[in-house]
Amino acid sequence: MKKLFVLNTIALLLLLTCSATVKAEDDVVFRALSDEMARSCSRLKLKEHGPPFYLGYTVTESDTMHLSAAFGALSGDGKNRWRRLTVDLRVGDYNLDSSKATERLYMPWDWSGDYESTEKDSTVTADDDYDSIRHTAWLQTDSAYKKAVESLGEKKDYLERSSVIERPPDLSKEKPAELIQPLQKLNVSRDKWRQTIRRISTIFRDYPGVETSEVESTCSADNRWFLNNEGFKNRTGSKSAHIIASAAARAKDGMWCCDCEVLHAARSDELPDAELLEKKTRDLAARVVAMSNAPLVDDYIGPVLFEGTSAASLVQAVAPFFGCSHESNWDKNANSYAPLREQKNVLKKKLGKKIASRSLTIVDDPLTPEFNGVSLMGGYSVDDEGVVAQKLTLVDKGVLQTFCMSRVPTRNLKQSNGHARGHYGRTSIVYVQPEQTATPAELRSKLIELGKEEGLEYVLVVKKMASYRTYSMSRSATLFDPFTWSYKGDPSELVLLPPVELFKVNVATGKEELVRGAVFTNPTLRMLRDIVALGDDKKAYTLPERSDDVASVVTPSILVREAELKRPVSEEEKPPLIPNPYFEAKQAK
Amino acid sequence: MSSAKLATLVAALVLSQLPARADSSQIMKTMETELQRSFAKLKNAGAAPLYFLAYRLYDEDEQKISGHYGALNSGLRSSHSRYLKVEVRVGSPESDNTHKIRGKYFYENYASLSAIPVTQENDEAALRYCLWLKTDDAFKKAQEKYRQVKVNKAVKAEDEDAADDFSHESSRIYEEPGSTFKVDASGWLDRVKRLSAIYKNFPNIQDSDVTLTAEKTRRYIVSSEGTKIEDERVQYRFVTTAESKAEDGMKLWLYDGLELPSVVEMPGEQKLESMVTRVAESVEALRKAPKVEPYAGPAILRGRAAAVFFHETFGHRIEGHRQKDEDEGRTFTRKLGQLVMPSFITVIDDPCRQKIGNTSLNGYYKFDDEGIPAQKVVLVDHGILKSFLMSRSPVKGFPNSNGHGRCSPFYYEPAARQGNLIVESSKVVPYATLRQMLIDEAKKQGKPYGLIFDEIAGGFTFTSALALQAYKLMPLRVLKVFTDGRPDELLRGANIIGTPLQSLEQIIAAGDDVETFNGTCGAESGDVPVSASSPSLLLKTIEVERQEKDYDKPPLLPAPLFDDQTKNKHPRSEGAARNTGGKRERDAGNSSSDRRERKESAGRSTDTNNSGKDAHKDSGKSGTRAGDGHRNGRQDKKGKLDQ
Repeated sequence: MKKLFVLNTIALLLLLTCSATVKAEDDVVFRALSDEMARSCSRLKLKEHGPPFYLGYTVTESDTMHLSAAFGALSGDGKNRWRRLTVDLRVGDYNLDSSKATERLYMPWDWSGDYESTEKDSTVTADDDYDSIRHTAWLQTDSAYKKAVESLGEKKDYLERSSVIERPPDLSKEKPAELIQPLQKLNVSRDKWRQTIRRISTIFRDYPGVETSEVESTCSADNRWFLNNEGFKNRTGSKSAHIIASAAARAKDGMWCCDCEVLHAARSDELPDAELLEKKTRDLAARVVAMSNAPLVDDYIGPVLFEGTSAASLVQAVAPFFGCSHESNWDKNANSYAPLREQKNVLKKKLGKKIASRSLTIVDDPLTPEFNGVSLMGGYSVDDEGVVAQKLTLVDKGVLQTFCMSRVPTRNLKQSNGHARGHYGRTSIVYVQPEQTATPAELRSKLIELGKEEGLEYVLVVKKMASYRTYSMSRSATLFDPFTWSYKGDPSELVLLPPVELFKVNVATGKEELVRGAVFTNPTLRMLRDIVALGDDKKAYTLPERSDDVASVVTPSILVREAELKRPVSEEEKPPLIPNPYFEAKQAK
Repeated sequence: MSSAKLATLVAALVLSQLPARADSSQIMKTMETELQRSFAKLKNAGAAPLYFLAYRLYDEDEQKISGHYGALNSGLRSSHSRYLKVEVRVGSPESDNTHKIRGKYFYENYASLSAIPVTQENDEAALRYCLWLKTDDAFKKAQEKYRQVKVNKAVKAEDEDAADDFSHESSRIYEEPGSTFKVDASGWLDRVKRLSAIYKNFPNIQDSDVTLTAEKTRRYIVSSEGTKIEDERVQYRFVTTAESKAEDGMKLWLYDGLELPSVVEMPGEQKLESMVTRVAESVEALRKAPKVEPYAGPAILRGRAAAVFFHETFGHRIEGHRQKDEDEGRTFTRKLGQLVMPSFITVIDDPCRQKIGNTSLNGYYKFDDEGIPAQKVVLVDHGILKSFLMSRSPVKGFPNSNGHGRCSPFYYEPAARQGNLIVESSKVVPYATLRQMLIDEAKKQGKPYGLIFDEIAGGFTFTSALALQAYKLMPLRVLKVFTDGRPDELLRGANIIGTPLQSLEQIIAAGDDVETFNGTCGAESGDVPVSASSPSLLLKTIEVERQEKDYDKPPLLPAPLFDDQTKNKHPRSEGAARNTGGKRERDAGNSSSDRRERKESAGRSTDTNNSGKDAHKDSGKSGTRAGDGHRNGRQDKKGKLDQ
């Protein structure tokens, strides 16, 4: 009996294998999902509750190689391929559906936790296996349906007892898009990457002034399947690779001076140029050492010139304010039919109004893959809800034109503009377009002129700001308190990271001096109105985002009439009691 | 088991460690050099003298293959990780920084973790760079803690147990040659797929999983006392889990598995197939079983359940350091030389023992994580308490370690832990007699039935004085044995609850069978591999409570493979149904001996702030498949929730 059973199973398995090969030309993932979708949309219902009116499946596949190295040897070496299935199931109708804002705790270090939400999320087999994928989809859809029915009930109760004025509909109707891109595979030479990361990390052995350093790389091939019952069907694939080198040095008083360099090869998994990589890493090491030897700066109020990459950091900090669309309009926790994050957005009621200097135009363009021959990160053809990406003018000559929208309408904007990223309306690649430009020399002289007007002895130039990566690599290098960061997409206040490369410019002599130890105090969006001039040096910069991603910003240097900087109040732990053994041995020789 | 078949399988594809990591003695040399430099330079660098410094490096290679419903989750996953622990002691062995700060929250006694990445390669400069940073960090924290200890001692009442903080031991030098670590990847990829496809024959199985994990951990220990240990532990683990939901919403799951020290001991595919099939069938059977009613009365704990019972009621309470910790319940501290259980019971803990019968024991080791040779300890001799499990943290009357200072490779300091706990009975009866004794005892007590517990998920206990001195066991399968001769009835949803001293006194008789529970035990020094072995035990009274309940209905639609209404019906669903019908029904009352070893977690921890919900939530965020998440949750519950 037992033997018979075994034989039987093997025979059945063979049958399965054959059928899978025969149908290889159509996509197994789509097939499994659409079969389960068809069944669910007609038969998944309870006595008093109908089937879902909206059902969307997303499968994200990620094949990632992550390497890291410290002081010349690998400290992390992993490769991981997985697929995840997300089910977005809604009951009700477009006007009133079961969606609600994610109930999550305020945890700035956690960007990805899946808590109670409209969506169900789970790992699905990375094999193209019809039965396994469909079985997982079945269980996730079932669970999502039950949650949706409960959630719609709660929402109706809420509307019954609350006075919601001009309630926007819950989901916009959009034109279905079908886009099928070839699947991407990660074809990297792991050994070559290992060698590179190791080699770059070894560079820090030439810098006794650097206390801790880290080099990490991430290469990934990502594929995404999206399918819903409205006829949206797309499959997109992309590849990317980037290296981040970070270094920290310690000033005599114990203050950490940290910085990082990001190098990327967008839309491919090639290695960045070796020579450039080495040069950037050496510059980084020299920079943090120089910073650690620089004098402390005093508290300051006055004009500030954001030069080069620091202008990009400023733009990155402003960007979250341009997202006004959220995963759902109903925020049960906030007891409101407008999510807290939307309510808090100071730009919420500013559509059509002047929010910035007339010289400023801001464009968001996910569709253009490069700028002046430099490839850009953060672009896409269809957004996370399958809607075709659009180029937007967010600010036109200082006037706010629109927000980045998902399919969740707000009171003012009813349609998506293809900017749903993780179901939030978010910016992609942001371009600052100056209406008038100034040469670097003109910017400097304007800066000095403003300083003189204020009666200042010196003015400040920020060349580089800290990034969301910088803090993590040194042990206690909390240049700023991570608890004060506001949540991703929470535009309640402007968060400007501290400058890492900061210069004092003497207004009398024009002499420039590197200084350290200042943080921005209470910056606000008023800074956009205070823009005095924009440079003619427009360039693309790629910065780490708060999540693990990197994104590009194209901007010229920006001169602001007034910003306030102060010395941080916290004290630092003492440097190590004994020297790094490597440098000790080297010195002994 | 067919060894010829296995030999050919192993030859198919061999994955071995990277050559870059082969030169292991270089690691020892580097660690020693940096240890000596740090020790010399830091000795008098702080207010309190540095008197002990040890480095422990764990180099872990893991290969994992897991399957779901006939497909692989993500192929073969290989990972290599290193964990480095720096132990710094300042002050003197009589009084040092590790002394417990009394009257503070538990976490104030543990140093916070430093996030210094550990080099994965055998590069001298890079390894010394991490040792340097970690030592500096640990040294500063030790100085700070020592100051707190001194202040605490000054303001608090005298310690009840004035034992030293660190025992004097002689140093050890031991080097074990590296073994080859082979997983027949291609063979196992297919095998796991095939085995996971068995669940496709069962209409009510929701989540399911089949996983093979092979793990090699090479350990390097050097200390300022001259101890040098380099050894290794290899483990192969096969686990399968299946989950379903009863009509009333109760979540039901079962699992089975093997933990083996070598792949050669892994049974052939047929045996694994029957293991998976049995899990699936049992889950289906549980769906139909009635729920348990709260009950107190006689019961048999089958071998593995009895073993977990001892691990929780007794094992955790005789861990040495708990005897001097005044926040602990200290149930047995003053009971040395006294009768603490029936006189026919003897309990030992013997990490030196590799096997009982044919079963490999999971708690086998030669040296503990403090570099002390493992020793067999007689804990209870014919009912009389004789000794405690000792690390290098002495207690009154026990100035030395007996080789039970253990920790997980993660960020924990060693503490006294169990290894292979073995319960022996000088008076045994055949199992059939034990079963009859259960019926007789039930009649005597005027109860309509007695209970038999066989499958068990694990358990937990509280040893802290703040909490109830209680334990809980989570049986997966319970049988009602009626006094009037009706056939046994399978039940679901039971937990065993009790208090340690009272429960140990309830043992009436033991069977002539011995079963081993191989698993992982979680406590304040992390998860460590352990085993517990025991004969089946008849207890005069045991109390059973209802399990917590879920409320979700079972899925509204049938599983796609079993949906008759689906037009493009899968060709396999009919054949599958036939198969199910054709399989033998297992006698639920008699567990066969080939499934004695499982991956189980049974343990405790002093972490009084962790709640079960937290543990579950953590696991839910893990990147594994949803089912894994739940299962991790359970293991977390067992490992970390244990309080």
